[in-house]
Amino acid sequence: MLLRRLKLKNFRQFKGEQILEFSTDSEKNVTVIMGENGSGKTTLAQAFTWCLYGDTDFEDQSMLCKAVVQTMIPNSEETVRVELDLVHNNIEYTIIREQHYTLDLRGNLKRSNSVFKIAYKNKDGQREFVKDLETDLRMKEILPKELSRYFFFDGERIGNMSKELKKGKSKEFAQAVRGLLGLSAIMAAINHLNGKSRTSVIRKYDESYDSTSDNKIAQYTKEITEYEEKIAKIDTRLEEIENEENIARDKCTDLSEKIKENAECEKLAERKEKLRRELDLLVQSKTTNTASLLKTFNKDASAYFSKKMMKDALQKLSEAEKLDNGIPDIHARTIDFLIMRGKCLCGRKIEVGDDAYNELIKVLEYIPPQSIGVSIGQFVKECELKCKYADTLFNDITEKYSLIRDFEITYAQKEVEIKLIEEKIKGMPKVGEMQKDLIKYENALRQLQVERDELNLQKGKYITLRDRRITERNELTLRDEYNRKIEVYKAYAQYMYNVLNDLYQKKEAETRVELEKNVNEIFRSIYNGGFSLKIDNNYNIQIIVNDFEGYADDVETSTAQSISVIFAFIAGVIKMARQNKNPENEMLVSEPYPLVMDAPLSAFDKKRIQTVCNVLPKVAEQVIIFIKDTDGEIAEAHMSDKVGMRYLFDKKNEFETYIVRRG
Amino acid sequence: MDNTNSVFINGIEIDTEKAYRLMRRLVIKEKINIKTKQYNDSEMVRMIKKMIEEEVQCY
Amino acid sequence: MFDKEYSFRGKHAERVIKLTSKFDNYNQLFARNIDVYIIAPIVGFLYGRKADLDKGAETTKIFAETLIKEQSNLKFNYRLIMLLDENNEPNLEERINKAFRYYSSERSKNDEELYEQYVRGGVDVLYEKLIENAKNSNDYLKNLYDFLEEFEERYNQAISTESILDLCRLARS
Repeated sequence: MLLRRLKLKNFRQFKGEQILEFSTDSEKNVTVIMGENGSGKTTLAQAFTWCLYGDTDFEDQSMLCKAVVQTMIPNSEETVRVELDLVHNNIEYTIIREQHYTLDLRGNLKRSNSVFKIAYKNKDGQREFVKDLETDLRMKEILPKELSRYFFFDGERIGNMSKELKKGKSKEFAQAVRGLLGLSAIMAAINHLNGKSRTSVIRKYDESYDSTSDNKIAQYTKEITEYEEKIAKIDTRLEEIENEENIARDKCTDLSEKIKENAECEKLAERKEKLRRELDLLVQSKTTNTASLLKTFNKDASAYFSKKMMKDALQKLSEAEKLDNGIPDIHARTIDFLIMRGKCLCGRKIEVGDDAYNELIKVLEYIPPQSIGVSIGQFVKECELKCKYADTLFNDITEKYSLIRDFEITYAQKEVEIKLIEEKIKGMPKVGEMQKDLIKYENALRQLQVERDELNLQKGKYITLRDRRITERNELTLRDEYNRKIEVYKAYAQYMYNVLNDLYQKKEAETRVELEKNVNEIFRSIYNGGFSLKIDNNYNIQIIVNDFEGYADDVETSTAQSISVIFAFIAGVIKMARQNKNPENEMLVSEPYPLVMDAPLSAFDKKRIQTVCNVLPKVAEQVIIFIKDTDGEIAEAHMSDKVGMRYLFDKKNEFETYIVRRG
Repeated sequence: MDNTNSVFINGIEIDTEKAYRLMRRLVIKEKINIKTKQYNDSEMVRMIKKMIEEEVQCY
Repeated sequence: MFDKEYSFRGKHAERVIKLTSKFDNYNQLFARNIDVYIIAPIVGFLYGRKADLDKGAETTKIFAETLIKEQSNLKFNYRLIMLLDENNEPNLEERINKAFRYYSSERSKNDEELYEQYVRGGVDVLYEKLIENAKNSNDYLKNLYDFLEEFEERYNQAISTESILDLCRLARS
């Protein structure tokens, strides 16, 4: 099937009639539609699915262009229409879907009838319409809805799948495998035979035992049913536990990662603590040093301040020639005595009025009690002593003070560093809290495991009891002909169930492995063998690094990785669908198919883009991609020789966007 | 009943050939029903039971 | 003199209290009132500041025992002031007498009053230089250091021709 043209009329923000022609050239099979996020790419992608199947994921279900609504007068009608021209099986089709809207008298917009038509060109080249009752069938032939999902991939689905992939699971993979298997009939049979619902063949047989013949049978049946209910309840809870475990495990991984990332935050916090302690020490040192300085000051300040005065005083005293005139240990009494005795110490005669006498009288002035000479002498000595202290005071204090100043500088530096760290930490989530949460979730996990183990134990017990009852009941029923028949029927149903179930599991595993292989081939070509994919039987996806040396580049964001996986997935599924000779996918085998998708190129590393751009056109014969304005250059650089048509979204305002042909 | 084709389920002997015939018929019916959506689940279950009972009773 | 209890009064008492208060949880500029009392007169004399007794109500005292213990220091400082205060007594001989002979006698009343004036003046200087514009605990120490530095420059450093050249260097830097 190839898409030729899309015609929109008043569809969402695409006001009026707007046409998109797609490149159907075999060489230049890529149509590029560029627009910023929010300009209408997803809307346009959904136009396809709405046209073909009447489905959209829009929150606001109203299709009608709001710009048009604004111009409607009450009691008037407007139409939304999307027409898709395509070619399938050599027939040219036009798929038309219309939705009418009326604005009632009160100004409310009401949706009225919708119309779905398939027109085609018959052998004579004339336009005919497929009968209304047959349109659904024809649509299934052209492109069944279940498969359409692999040809229309919008950004949101990519986003959701990407999220799932990051968590390591993918419903899309599971669904794809089932679709590719084409064994839905067998699945239906399995469910009908012994599915989990109340309506299954075996359950019905269980219920139909005739219990009148033997009360015990009824009782056993009742007990068996009770056990089965209990087992079913446990199974439900076990499933819940698995989900809760997954959530808890996710959270643990998440938190552990964040905590690791914020190991830096912890380091910062540690450093801050260390700095705080250093600050405290500094404060202490400063206080101690200040105290020491002040003690020195208090002790010697007096001497220090009076140093100059002392110098001057000494000078003055020496000027007055008073300095050396005292005689130690001589008192006035001694002089009086000498004068009285008339003889000096040295033997010389002293007579009142003579030179010796006058000298002695003068001496009186210098000796106690009159004298101040001794005092002066003492004074001088004190001066000399104090000067010694005074000399060192200023230097001491200068030294101590500069130490204190150093403390202050270091303190200020550390404070600044602490502030910087606090700023940084403010931006980071609290590691302590995360650790607490991590512990909480780890505990939750442990509890869940404990619960699970207990439940499994219980379940085992119930199963044993139930089976015992079944055996006992069998013995009883076999005695009764009617009930015996039921046993037989049940046996057949059970056997069929076992066989079909085993078959299905086996085929599913095969298909899953094949899908894994196909996806990996494509994945490898994007990644040069650096990574590969593993899908287990629960559709848990794991991305494995194969070759550390072969892949020496920087590790990509997991977004880019996921998107690569998605590309590889789509390519793989389509490839398999076309290889399958499966009648359900028959229509895919012989014809080329288009791929319409959002291409978030900028999420990719530059080298990947080349490979992706190479892979895309190989995956499908016709590629229609939506890209962001900013990725336009990238697309041009890598795909320009394959691009047949270019369009641009021109967003005028919230309600009006126009599609404009480019280049 | 050919003994080499018997299998015991829950102490009951069943004929695997009959079982396979049943399975084939069942799968075809299911396949048609998926396309036509003619019967709902309980109807399908009833049909299957009838199929089994008929096959068992037949020679 | 210097043998009985002494009280600072009024605004000077307030100032002495501030000079002996803790400025940072632990440290105070002057350990005790007596430490202020010892230094204040020297500072008062050198800065040429005298102050009258303030009539305010505040008081803070020094015990007699404390004074007696420091008597020789106090006496020493008293003598220095007497020896050098030429405004008080231009004659050197008389100053020497005031310092040594008349100490603690009936002739010393005016001198003692003069001494007290210097004490109070010194308290004012200390307060102005150390406390008045201190905003935080770091300022107190800084003020003290600046005060000492100013002192060192003014009185204890030799003025030489080199220091004149220093000025030019300072001006250019």
